[in-house]
Amino acid sequence: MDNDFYRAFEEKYRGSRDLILSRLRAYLPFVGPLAKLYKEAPVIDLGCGRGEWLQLMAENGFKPHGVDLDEGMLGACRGSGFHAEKGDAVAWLATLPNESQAVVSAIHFVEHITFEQLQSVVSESLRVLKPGGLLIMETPNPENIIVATQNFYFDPTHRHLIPAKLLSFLPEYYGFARVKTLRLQESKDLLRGGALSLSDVLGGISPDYAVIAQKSGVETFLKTFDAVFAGNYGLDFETLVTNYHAQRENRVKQIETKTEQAVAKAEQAAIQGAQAEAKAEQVGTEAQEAVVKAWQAEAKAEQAGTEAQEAVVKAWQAEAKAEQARSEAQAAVSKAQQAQIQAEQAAAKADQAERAIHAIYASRSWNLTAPLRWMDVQIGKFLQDRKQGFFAPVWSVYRKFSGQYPFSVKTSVKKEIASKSPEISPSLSSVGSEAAPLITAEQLTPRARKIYADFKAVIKKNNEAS
Amino acid sequence: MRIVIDMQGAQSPASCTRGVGRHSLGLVKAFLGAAKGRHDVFLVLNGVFQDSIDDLRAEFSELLPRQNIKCWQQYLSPVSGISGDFFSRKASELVREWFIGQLDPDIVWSTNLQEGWLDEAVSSVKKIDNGALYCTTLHDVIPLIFPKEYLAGDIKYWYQEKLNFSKKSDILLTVSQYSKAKIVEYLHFEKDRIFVVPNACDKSVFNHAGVSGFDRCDLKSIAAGRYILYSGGADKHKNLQRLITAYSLLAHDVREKYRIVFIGESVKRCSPQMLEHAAAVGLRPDRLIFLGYVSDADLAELKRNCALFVFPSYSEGFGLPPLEAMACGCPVITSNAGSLPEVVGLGEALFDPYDERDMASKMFLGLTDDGYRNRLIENGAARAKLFSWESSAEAVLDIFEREVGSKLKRPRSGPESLANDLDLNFRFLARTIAAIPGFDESKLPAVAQALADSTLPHDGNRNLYIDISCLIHFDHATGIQRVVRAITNEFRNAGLPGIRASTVCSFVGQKKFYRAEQVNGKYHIPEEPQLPGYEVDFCDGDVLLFLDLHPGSAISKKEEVRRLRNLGVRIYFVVYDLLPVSHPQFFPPDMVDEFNQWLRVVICSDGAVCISLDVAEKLKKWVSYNAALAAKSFKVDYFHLGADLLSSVPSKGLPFNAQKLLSSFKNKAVFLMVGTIEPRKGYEQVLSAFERVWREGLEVSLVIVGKQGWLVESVVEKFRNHPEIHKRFFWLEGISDTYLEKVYATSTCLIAASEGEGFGLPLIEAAQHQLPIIARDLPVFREVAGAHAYYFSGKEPQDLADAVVRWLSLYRSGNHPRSGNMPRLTWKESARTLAEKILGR
Repeated sequence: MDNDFYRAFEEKYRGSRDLILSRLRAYLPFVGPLAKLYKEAPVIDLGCGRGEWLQLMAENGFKPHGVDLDEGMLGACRGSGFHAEKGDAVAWLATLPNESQAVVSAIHFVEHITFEQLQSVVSESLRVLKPGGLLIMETPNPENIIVATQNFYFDPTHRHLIPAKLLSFLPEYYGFARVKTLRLQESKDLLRGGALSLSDVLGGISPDYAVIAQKSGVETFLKTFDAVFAGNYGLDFETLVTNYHAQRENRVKQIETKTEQAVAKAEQAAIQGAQAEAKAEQVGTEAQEAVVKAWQAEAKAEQAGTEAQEAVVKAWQAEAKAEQARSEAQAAVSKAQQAQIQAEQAAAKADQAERAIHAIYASRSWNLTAPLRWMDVQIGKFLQDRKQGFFAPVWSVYRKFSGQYPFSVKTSVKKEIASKSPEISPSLSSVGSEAAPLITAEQLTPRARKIYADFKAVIKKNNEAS
Repeated sequence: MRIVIDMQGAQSPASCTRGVGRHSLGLVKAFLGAAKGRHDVFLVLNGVFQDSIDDLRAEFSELLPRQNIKCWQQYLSPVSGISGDFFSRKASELVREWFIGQLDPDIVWSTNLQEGWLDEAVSSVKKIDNGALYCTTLHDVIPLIFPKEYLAGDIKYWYQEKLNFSKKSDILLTVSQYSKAKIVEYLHFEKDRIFVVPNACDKSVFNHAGVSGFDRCDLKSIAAGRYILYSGGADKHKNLQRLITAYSLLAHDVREKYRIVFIGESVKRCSPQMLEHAAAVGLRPDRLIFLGYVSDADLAELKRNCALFVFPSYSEGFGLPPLEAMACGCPVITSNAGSLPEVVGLGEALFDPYDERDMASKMFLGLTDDGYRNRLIENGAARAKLFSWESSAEAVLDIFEREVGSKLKRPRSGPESLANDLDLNFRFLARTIAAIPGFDESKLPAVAQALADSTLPHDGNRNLYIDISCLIHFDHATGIQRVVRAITNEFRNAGLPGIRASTVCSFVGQKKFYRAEQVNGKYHIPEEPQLPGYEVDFCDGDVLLFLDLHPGSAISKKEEVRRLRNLGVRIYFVVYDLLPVSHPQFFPPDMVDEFNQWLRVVICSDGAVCISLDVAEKLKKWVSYNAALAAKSFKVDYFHLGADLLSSVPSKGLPFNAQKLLSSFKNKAVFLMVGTIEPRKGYEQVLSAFERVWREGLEVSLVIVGKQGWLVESVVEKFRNHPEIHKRFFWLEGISDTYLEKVYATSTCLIAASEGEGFGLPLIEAAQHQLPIIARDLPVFREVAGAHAYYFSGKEPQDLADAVVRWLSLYRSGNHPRSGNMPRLTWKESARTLAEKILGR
């Protein structure tokens, strides 16, 4: 690997110096007591890289010493004034004296070496650490799916992921007093417990973890580390998945509840809708019935109107009949009067005639004219004939005149109805027409009689000519 | 020139309520206005439509002299196209043409030939050639455009015949360019013989200004709602089914807000089918309202208040309803077919009548888009201004003047040549009628009678017939009969110019009138065998005066009165009083009944001439209660009676004790009452009053002259058995006129105590004899006597007794009112006033 390439790569992807520093401060609670106990304690950083840990250690009262293979990285460390050596870190560790270091750190180092080398690192660390000293190994966390499948492979020099269970077993095996696994660099929000998404599940678990192993030492001294060793650090797989699952369950439950409520409401609405529909149908039926009733009432009213009109017609007919009867009666009265007068006149004339006869009888000439007595027979006969004659014309006149009413009452009444009630007249006068009674020759007025005669004459002449 | 207009288009029931009827009335009225003073115009009516004659005469009374409206008679029936027989129809057509020929017209104009399919109208063109030009209005040829619909069956022959008549016409008028185009297309008529004279509407009725309220009460609630309006016929081409479908396509809330209102009698008759169709397209029946026939005033108000007027007809000759609606100011949309674009004018107001969606969308716009509505209303106002009956009438007049001017103008025939022409025509007529297929000899009398009744007088003389039936049948020498005798005398001797006066008589229950003759001062009619020779033949222009009061006869002649008036005879009644109406208690109930019936006949005449203003006022009031039964032109007038006894052909004769009685009156105050003994004359009160006066010891006499009347048995008993009878109280029954003269001469004062009188002839007679008068304070007595009498009031005997005493004291001091100067007419003057009233108009 080219020095500059790796440095450039690290520059791009490792993160800023400040960022690294801030992350590394997570270990300060662990290493702090050591600085108190062992003044100017030497600290060894395997794979020191840019030297952030060296800086931090130096700031916190330690004497750090770093070792790295990369010349470029070493240059940066030395440039910042730290002790840094080029060399194989694992081999170099073996050269250190026993119980010389307060802390052995391997930050993002162990993923670069073989397993045998790792074993060597752990066992040698135990030898070189002072009592109560710490071995700190930080490496990417395979629990984080994104790290395990993608991010880990950003660095082409990474060999393979090391599960926490494996890494933490190593110090246990080689005889460290206690081992702590810390998960690191997770999102603060997720740690606080915000809403988890799928991407959180896949990539939210702490991307890095560290195994901190402590060499046995004085009990009281070791007690000062109890608190930090007891703490919970980071987000692990189980927690996150469980939380996610719980959240999902919750959400589903909420949705289920809401759905149930909605379904219940919908059912209720359906019921109400059905009720309303039923009511509307009823109203519709009632309305139709009302319409039918109204039509029936209208028909009845029309019928009543027709019946009333018929009654009026009947009344008029009766009136007309009464009028006719009255007029006939009056005509009869006047005829009777005339007849009476004529009878009186006839009687008077008869009287006169009788007196004349008596006079003749009483006269002397009667006796003288006995041979002419045949005359009285004639006179008597004559009187009888005249008596008949007076009455006959009067009655014939009455009979003749009583029938002389050319337009029958019926027709004239009908025409009156037609003129008074426009509603029924269309059926009477507009659709077809009935024949008016035909005028006969006897009923003609004088002028018409003349015209009739003239017509007949012309037609007769015409027929004769043809 | 002389123009004769056939008005059957305004008479026939089929047309009078439709566009043709409106056209006939509106255009002709405006035409009369335009032609006034320039030409002689006659309107001719078919007498078979009896009810329309009087109405039309009244309608035109302001525009035309009475004698310019003539009526011809038709006695053959049925003649309708649908059920009539051929001979009857053809014969009636000839009668009509012959009748029109009598008027010697230059132009004969028929406002619609297509009359008489369902009714008795007849029309024909140039069957008898009298030299006149024929002008016909052909409104449309819609039946030719839709023959399957309108010309199926026998009607096509009838219609074709009418079209042939149109073709024979010299001038053809139509109402739109569209109709003209169709006429040219279907009838191959020459374009320059057809003239377009558009219809219009009556702006005095159809306008913006609203009349408050409706004649029909059920319309108010309908107008208050929101509605779409249609008015018109229900023929297939009016396209109402598609209108209903289009309405059903409108949005639900629009339909909830706006109903459709249909106006029109025929639409109402079709309403069951239309409601069925509405149900089929999913409409509730309450969305459609059918109002049937509606008066013009109500129609205009409904058009003013409607939200939208729709006229979807797919074939129209003109389209009056939308024009009326535009004049009323409502938004109008119509179909784009027929003549409607010519009427409406605005493109966006038109829709395709065969496309329900187009119709519905225009309806929707018309109801909801304010801009569109305003444009429609503005357009309507502008279009309505373009159509007026006046301008159309001017156009017709121009056409007539041009056409007649261009033809050879015949000189107007004098009476002799006219008579000759008619004679020739008559013989031609007889031969033609005999030649009609289906000639039926039994129908000839009817034809003869129709011709007789359609004959117009040519000698310029009119007849005045005075009916004095009562006088002839029963001469009771009553007051009325004295008047009848006097007036009749005056008329006979008056020599009225152009009038032949004769007396006639009629019988109860019969319609004929017979001329009566005066023999030895008495009127009588000849014996039965000669009677037919005396029959009266009425003629157009004659006047019949019912001078006598014979209720029975008049009542039985109600139909005859109408027939004669239709014929052109003017009929008047003299009304003497309205006492059976104002004081029914004085008459037997039968008489009151009969009198009311008689009045109902009177109001069917041309007028009543009452014998005083008082009676005239009372009659007017009675008429106002019975206005529906009165003839349209019925008028009430009055005249005053005369009173020269001598000229009224008095009766003579004095009984043997007359002289004795008269001499006993000298030097005494004699109070006289003259008149038939009847309850209303107040005799009872007078007698009781005088009993009081005699009790007070005043030496006065009471003389009552009069025969016993009715309902006075108890009073007459009192008279006969009165203690003062023949002493200070005298009752002279049935004395002659000459005797009465002498009684007047020797009396001191006349008492007129009647509670109701028609005139009060005794007052005049008293005045003639310089006799002072004490009269009851009645308006009619005030009218006749004025300040020339002494008045009393009150129905108690004491009231009259006091009045007599007061009058006596005035008399003694000479301060009593004198009667000598009472304004009075002679019978001659009275008769002349009456003649003016009945002949002057």
